[in-house]
Amino acid sequence: MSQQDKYAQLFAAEAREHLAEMSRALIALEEAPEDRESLDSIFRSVHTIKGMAGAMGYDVATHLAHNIESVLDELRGERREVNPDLIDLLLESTDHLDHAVESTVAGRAAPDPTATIERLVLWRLADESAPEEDTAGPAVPAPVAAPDARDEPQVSPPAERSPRRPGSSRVRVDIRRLDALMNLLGELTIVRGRLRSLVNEAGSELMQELVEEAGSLISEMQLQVVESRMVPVWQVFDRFPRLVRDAARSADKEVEIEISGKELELDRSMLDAINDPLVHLLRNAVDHGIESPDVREKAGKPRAGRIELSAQRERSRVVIVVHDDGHGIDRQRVAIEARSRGLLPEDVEPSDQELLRIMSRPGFSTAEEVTNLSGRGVGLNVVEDTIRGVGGSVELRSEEGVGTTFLLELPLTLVIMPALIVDVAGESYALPATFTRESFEAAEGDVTQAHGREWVTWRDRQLPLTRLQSLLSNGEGNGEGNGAKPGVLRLVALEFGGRQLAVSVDRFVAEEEIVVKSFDPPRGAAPVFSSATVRPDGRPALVLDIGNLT
Amino acid sequence: MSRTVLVVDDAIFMRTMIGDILKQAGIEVVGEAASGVEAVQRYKELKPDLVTMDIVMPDMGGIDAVREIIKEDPEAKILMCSAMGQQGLVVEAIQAGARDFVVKPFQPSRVIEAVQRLLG
Repeated sequence: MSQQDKYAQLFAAEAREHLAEMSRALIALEEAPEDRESLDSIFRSVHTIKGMAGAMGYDVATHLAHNIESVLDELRGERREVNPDLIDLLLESTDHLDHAVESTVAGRAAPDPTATIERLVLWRLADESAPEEDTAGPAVPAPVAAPDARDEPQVSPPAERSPRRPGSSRVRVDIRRLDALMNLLGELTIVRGRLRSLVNEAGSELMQELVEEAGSLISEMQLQVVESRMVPVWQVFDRFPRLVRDAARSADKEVEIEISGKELELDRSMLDAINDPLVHLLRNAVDHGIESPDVREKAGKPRAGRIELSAQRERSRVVIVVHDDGHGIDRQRVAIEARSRGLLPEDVEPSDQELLRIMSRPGFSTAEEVTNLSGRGVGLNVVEDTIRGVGGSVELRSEEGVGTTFLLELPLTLVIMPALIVDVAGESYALPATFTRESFEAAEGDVTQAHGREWVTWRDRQLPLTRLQSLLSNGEGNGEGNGAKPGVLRLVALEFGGRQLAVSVDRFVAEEEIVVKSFDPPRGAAPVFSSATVRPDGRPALVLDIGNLT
Repeated sequence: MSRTVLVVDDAIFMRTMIGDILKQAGIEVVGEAASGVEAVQRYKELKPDLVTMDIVMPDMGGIDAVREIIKEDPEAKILMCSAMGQQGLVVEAIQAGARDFVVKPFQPSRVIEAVQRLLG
C-alpha cells in the first residue's frame, strides 16, 4: 500500500467517525441548546476533519469544514444562538461534508459545495435581530394555542427562549435503515398476499376482513417510509445556477437559467441518481444547444440564451424538464450520419425519439462533421441508462432554430410500483403500470405487416407489435393454445418515453403493487428485465424493462 | 544521541502523518498522545526533547496542555500545530510557553525545519 493510500484510508476511517459524532451531537444540541459539551464536540470533530482534509489536499472538504467551523465559532463565542433552522443547516452541511469525504476517498469529484458554503456564510452575515426572512423550506404551520392556555398573558415567559419548538423535532436516520425497513415491509406484503390467498380459499368473513385491514395498515406504513425518504429537489437543483454560469463563461456564451418546482420531493436515492444526468444535460445545453450571442442576435433571438429546468408531478410520476432555446438538433445531419452507419433506413425521416436513440449510441457523435452536435451524443447513453436504471424514461423534443427539450420521467420511489402481472408461456411477468396504457384484445387477422414488422390497431392508432411469446420463450408458442381464444390476441398498449407499442401476452393475471428487488440478470440473458419481484404465492416474477421491448 | 519527540493530536491520521515526516528526517517519535490530559502525563513519563501539540482536542486542549507542561518543565520545547484561522490561539499558546508553530496543512519541509531548529 502506498503512503498516500495509507493516509487516505486513515482519513476515511477517522472522518467517518467524526461525521457520525457531528450528527449525533447536533441532534443533542437541538434537544439542549445550552449544552456546551455537544457544541464543543461538534467543533472538535469538524476541526479535525478540516485539518485532515487539508493535509490530504481535499479542497472541497476543507472549505466546507472551515465554513461549518466558522458558524460554530459564532455559537461558541455566544454571539449567536442555536435554533432549529440552524441545526437543519448544520445537518445538511454535515451531509454535504460526508458526500465530499466519501466521493473524494472513492476517487470521484466531490459535489459542488458552493450552495452549502453560501448558506453558511449568509447565516454568519445575517443579523439575527432582523425580521425572519423567507426560508427555502416549506412553511411550518403556526403552532396552535395549547388547549390549556389560559388568559394570563402577564406570566407567559418570553417566547423566543423556548428550548424546543413544537413540530420541529426530528431525528437523523441512515438511509440504509429505511431501506432495511422497506425491505421488511416488502416481505410483509408478500406474507400478507399469501395469507390473503389462503383466507380467500378457506377463511371466514371475519378473517378476510382482518387480512384486508392488515393489508391497508401495511400500505400505510409503506407510504410513511416512502415519504420519510423524500427530499426536496432543490437540494440538487440549487447547485445548477452556478454550474450553468461557469459553463457559459468558459464557452463565451450568455445563458440565463430559470428553475421551477424546487419544492417537489423525490426519493433520496432517486435524487442522487439523477444528479449526474442533469449536470450532463445542462452542460450540453450550454455547450451545444445555445448559440453564441452574435449568432443568436442574427437569428433575431435575445443575446442571452435561456435554460428552463423544472420539476413537476404528473400522476404517479415526476417529470423533470430541461429546455434550452438554442438551435435545436440538426436533424438532417444526424440522419445522414445515422444512415451512413446503417442505423437508419434510407427512406425514414427520424422522429425525435429516433434522434435520441441514434444519438444515445455510444460513440455515435465522434464523427468530425457533427462536432457541433457531438456533445449531445457523448454521454447521452449514460443519461438514458441512468434514468432507465431507476425506472424512468427519457424523451427528446427538438425543433430546429427553436430549441431542445429533454423530459425525464421518473417514478416517485424506487421500491414499490404498481404493475400489471401477465402470463407468457407459463411464466409470470410484471409490466410497470406507469408505462401501461390499456389492455385490449385484437383479432389475429387484424395484424398488419409494414416496415418489416407487425402492427396492430389501438384507439385508431397503429402500434408496433412485439410478441412476448417469441421474445421470452425463444420463439416457442405463438400466443395460442394457452387457454386463449383461438385467433384472438391479448395485448397491452405501452407508452415509454414518447413511444407507444403493443405487446402480446397469454393471460392478464392481476394488477398489483409489487415490491421491486434489484436483480442481476444472468449473463447472455435477453436485456428485457429491469428487476424482479416475488408474487403473493411466493413465485418470482421478472419485471420487464419496457424501454427494451421494441 | 538521537532526539525524541512526543506527538500530540487527537486524530490518528495526523499523528501518523507527523510521525512519518519526523521519521524520514531521522527523528525518533517516542510517544503519542490523543488529548491534553494524556499529553501532560506522557510528557512526565517520557521527558521528550520536543512536543508537537495540536490545539483543539478533547480532554484539555493544546493551550492548557502547554501551560501544564511548562509548569512541570519550564524548558520544555513545544511546537504548536495549528489550523488556518487560529492565529489568536497560536499567540495565546506562545504566551503560554510554546516555542514555535506550524500551520496545517503541513509542508513536510516546514515541519522538519521547525523541529530541527528547536532541537538545535
